[in-house]
Amino acid sequence: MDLSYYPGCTLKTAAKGLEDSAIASMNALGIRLVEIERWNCCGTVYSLAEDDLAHHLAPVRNLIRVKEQGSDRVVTLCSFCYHTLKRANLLVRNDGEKRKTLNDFMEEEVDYNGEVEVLHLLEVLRDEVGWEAITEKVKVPLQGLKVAPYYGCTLLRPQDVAIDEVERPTILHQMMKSLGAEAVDFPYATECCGSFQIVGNPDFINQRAWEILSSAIRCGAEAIVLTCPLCHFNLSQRQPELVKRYSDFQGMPVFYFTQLLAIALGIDPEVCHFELSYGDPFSLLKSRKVVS
Amino acid sequence: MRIQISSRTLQSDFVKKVTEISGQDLLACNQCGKCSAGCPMCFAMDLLPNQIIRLAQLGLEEDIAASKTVWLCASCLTCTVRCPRGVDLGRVMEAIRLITLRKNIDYVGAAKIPKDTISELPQIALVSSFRKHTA
Amino acid sequence: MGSIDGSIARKALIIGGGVAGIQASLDIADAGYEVILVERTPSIGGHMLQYSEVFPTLDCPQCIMTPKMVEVGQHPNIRLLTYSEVESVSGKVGNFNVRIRRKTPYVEWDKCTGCGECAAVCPVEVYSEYERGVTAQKAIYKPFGQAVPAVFTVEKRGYSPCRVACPAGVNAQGYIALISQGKFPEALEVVRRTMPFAGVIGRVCTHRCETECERGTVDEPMAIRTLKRFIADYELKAGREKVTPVEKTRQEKVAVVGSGPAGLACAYDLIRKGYPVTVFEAMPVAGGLLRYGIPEYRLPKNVLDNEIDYVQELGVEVRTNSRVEDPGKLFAEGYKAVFLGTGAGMSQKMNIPGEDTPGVIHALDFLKQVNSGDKASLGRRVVVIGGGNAAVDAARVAKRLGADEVTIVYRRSRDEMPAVAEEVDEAEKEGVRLHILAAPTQVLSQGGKLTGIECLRMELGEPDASGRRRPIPVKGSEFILDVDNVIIAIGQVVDKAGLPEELACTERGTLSADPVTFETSMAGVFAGGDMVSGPADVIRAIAAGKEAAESIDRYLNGADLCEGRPRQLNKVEEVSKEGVLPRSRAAMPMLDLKQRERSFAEVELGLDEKTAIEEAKRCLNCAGCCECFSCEVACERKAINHELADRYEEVEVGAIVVATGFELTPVKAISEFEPDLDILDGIQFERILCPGGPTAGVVLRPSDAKEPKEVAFISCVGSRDPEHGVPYCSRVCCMYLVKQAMLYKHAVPDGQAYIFYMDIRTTGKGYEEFVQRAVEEDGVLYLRGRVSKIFRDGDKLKVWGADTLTGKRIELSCDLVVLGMAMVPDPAARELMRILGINTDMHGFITEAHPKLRPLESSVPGIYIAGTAQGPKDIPDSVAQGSGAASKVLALFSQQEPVLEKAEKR
Repeated sequence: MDLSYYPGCTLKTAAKGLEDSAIASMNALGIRLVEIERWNCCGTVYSLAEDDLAHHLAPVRNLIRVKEQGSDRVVTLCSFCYHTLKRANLLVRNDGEKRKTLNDFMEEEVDYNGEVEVLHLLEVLRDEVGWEAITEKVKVPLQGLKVAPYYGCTLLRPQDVAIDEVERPTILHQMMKSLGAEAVDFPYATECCGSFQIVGNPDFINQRAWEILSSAIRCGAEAIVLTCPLCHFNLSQRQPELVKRYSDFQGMPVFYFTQLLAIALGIDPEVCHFELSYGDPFSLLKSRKVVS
Repeated sequence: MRIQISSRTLQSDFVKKVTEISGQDLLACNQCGKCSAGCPMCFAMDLLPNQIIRLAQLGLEEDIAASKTVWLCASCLTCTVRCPRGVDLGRVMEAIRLITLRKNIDYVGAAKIPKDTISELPQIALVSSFRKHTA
Repeated sequence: MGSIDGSIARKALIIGGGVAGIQASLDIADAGYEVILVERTPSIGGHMLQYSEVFPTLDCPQCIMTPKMVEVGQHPNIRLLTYSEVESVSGKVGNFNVRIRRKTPYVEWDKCTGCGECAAVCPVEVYSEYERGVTAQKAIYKPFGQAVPAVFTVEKRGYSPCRVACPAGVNAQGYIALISQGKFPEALEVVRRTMPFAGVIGRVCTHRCETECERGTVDEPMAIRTLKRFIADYELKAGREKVTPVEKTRQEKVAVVGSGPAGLACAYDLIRKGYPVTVFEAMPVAGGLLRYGIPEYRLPKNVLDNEIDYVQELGVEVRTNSRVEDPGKLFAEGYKAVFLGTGAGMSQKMNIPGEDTPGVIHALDFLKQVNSGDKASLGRRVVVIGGGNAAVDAARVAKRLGADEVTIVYRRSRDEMPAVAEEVDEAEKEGVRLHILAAPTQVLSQGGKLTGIECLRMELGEPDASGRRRPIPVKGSEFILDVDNVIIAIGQVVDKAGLPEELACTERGTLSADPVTFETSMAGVFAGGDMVSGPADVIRAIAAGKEAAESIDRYLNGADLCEGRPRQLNKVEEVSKEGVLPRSRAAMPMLDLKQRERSFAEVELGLDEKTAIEEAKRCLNCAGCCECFSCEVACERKAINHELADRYEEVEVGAIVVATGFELTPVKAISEFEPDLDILDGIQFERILCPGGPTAGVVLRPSDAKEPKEVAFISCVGSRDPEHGVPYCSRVCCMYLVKQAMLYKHAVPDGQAYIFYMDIRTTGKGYEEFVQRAVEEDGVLYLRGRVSKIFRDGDKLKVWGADTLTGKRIELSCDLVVLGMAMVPDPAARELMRILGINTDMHGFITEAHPKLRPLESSVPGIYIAGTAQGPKDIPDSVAQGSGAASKVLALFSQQEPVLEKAEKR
């Protein structure tokens, strides 16, 4: 099966490991992710202003690209992309007046009326592939790996874009179980990492990251699994700062969900680009004898 | 100094703009404080989110402008999903930011960020920060 | 509207036995009119009886309510119908006709003395509505000490899924509940009520019960089969007395042909009905396929012997070495009915070239030979064709006899193998190889000596009639396996030789019998088991034997064979798993692989007592009462009768008072509060504070029974919260939470109580003073702000709140959290409002005829309102409304007929 796929900017650079591991894993599961042509930036954040249509143009243009290519579904990997595309799509569907203004302004060849369904890859794994089918395809069960699913914000809030229960999501938990890992619950699983505040207020992000990571450690996790490239940056790439600041913190491996999927499916770890992650998360898998 | 409150301040342009841009009824808030209780960035804020909305209800634009709170909001929408009254506080915060940004006053400036930092940060961080914090 | 003909029925119906309903009943009864008080639960008392002390006077509600409850119970003018519900209402003011359903408590209340001997022996614990889950209650229960009436009620919710799933209807929940109490012989008796084969079925059953087991949705299904085996083993080890033979109360002799599971199950049921039964068996020893088909390592012969002995000791005569050539002749010998259960014992052929080569043998013949103790010699390399239990048994036996290479060749995939999955796993562990997706095409030989078998690879196509994917040969994929022996196990058919012509057969080659009654085409001849179904599992054969026994009984009584069959079992659909912590299923200890070599010692070793009890305690008791009938035995007055049914009665009344009360919204509705044993709702904490409660008034938290030193009380949880569907103020939480905080402080003087609040709304008489006392004298700390999140952190609960007065975020580390959940109308009364035809608001509270001036009248004349069914209110207000509604009723009853117009028109 082919599925239209919207990558977004960061997946081509810092989050290469998210993209490559996803494409390889989905291939192994019988789904080809077909990158849409001529995609542009999703806008990263969804404008929360009633009078600001300009910032909805970017995500809607991408949805038009999907429609033009004859697809009625598009899957995203990055949580931010999912959020902006999904919300812009709902806006177009639910607000006739704004839909008209947007279409008039864009003068694209085709009008867009919300025909495309925006999905996150986790939804595809849950609803199309199914956890049992994934388990059957697992070649390297992540036996003994205690991993804390961290959901972040944009896949869950607000309610109308949530891919799972807003307050008590389990989708990543289920995925981890399907791969043979132990999913560790921790109270910060849906707490915001501070997001883009990393640019203007990096110190505050250090504090958030430390609270989140140390909570997971207290609950017995030895790694974090997440979906979002920005969460990944804040929780993983900033760890050198945390190690300096907090004497009891010694670092914690952070995985993208698709990296663990690829490993479990027995795909060459090359696709995970662990070299782009802080602190060599792959070595944890080796020390747990998940991989040799 | 006593703060002067009158029908004029309560119906000031600022109050109207916040209401318009956010699409939220400020008076729906009954100041229960749940937004503040759950806000992940609260530790860094000088005023709690519920205080910002209270100041907005009273039309006290300058007090809001003097506070960093709206700039520390990460739009995580925890307040939005938990507000018992259905107020989308994330939108109120955005509206207040936009009122400043539309005066061409940036909160972060690309020029102010060290080069190293820029090269280290993923696009997603930079773009979203500029989207939220620059005009 | 003109005047009403005839007279007003000067009798009142009060619905709801809480404090408001009690007050209304007493007032009307005291005025000299008859009252019928209907209450949904087994006792009157309502929520007030659950509370500790009540504000602001700190009276004990049990002390002040009990006299009123007793008065209701004894009042000559009050007819108390508890455990009853209004089914329908017709008519109008002055003359309502009401149909009342009196749910059966399965106890004859006029005989019940309330002694409690029944509950003492009941093995089942269920949710207690009165204790609100803080502690459990027995499935036969008196709701609380002061209950009126002071009698016991059995909680039955239908049939447990395991019992419904069992073809023979074995009551698994029943014996599991008894095992959990260490009552092993009693548990075995529960199995024997249905069939004599606990030890056999406890080993070889395909256990559909476990597939349906609700525990499986929490973690893993109960080890039902293993537990059944445990109680049989327990008796076998301890030894048992010989059974007293059943008295033969019937003259009609019945013949059973075949001593397999179907025949013996049939004989067992018939002998217990008093019929003289003779079982005819062609082989030298009884047991049929159980003896000759299943290998010793799976079913030791002494287990089987014991259970056949049991059937014989009851009085069943078994004649071995007695082949019945013509069942018709049995009638001439004086038998009045015949059951045929001779199985399907003829192996199917493969129909491929070389099939008759010496060295090719059939699984059943092979197993029979080995099970008879005869020597069977096999070559070094053995291939077994087939995927059923016979194939796996033959392969494992071959391995045990010393074959080096044993391979099972099966044409579909592993998932499609009909054999029990665990058996396939064990076979593999023992070294049996699986060659799936392959089918034999010819047997190869050289000079008449078997040398190999040629096979063809298969792939799976579309599903066939059986729902399994059809195997399709892959062209040119032939391959050869070198073998010394081939064992064919591709199924068995019924050997029709010797069957009289009158017995009709099906196209599938099985004997034709009615699927419900098991009648054959020959009058008086019934048949069941593999002979009718084709090869199936043991439990189905037992089920068939039992059904046939029922038919034979009816046949000999001249009764209708079909009436009420098949029995419709009302399966429990929804089983609460709230608070059930995952705990893994007891693993079956297995014989070491090394020890299995060349040995027929039993592979599965069985559970020890302790493990069995622990495993039994995992049962969720889906059906409530497990029908072990221990209570019936314990009750000296013979008051308990599990066969009782609901009753209905019609009454005519002139006026109705609705006082159905409230419930609290569930804690789990607030998803940002992590579910936790130490997060309670207000009524649960009342139980903990209550001197007569489960902790005798000592404040201990549920998780670890420690005294909580820091306790947070949270107001307005789910109320004043349109996003959770309750925009209104719940009105009493401010008062009861501060009262609870004060009582907590009195119980734990060195503890600290916090109350998160939005506004303090304590507007009753003496209430504000109470609040001030709590703050000043007991140091209760008020924090102004809602709580956003609660989660566990080790020993503590973290509470994230705010104090908007200081503009600070608050984090508390608490030992216990009490939530002031929103008051909503009792959901159990929702349907009643429709039946009564009275208006309710969007939340389900009863709408008054006028919100200011007619607050006690509903939208229907003659139906009045009292208590929290109208809206949240405190106890004095509820009592006042009870009296108010009573006065409305009395005003109506004191009118002459024409004035009724007034009641209607107003």
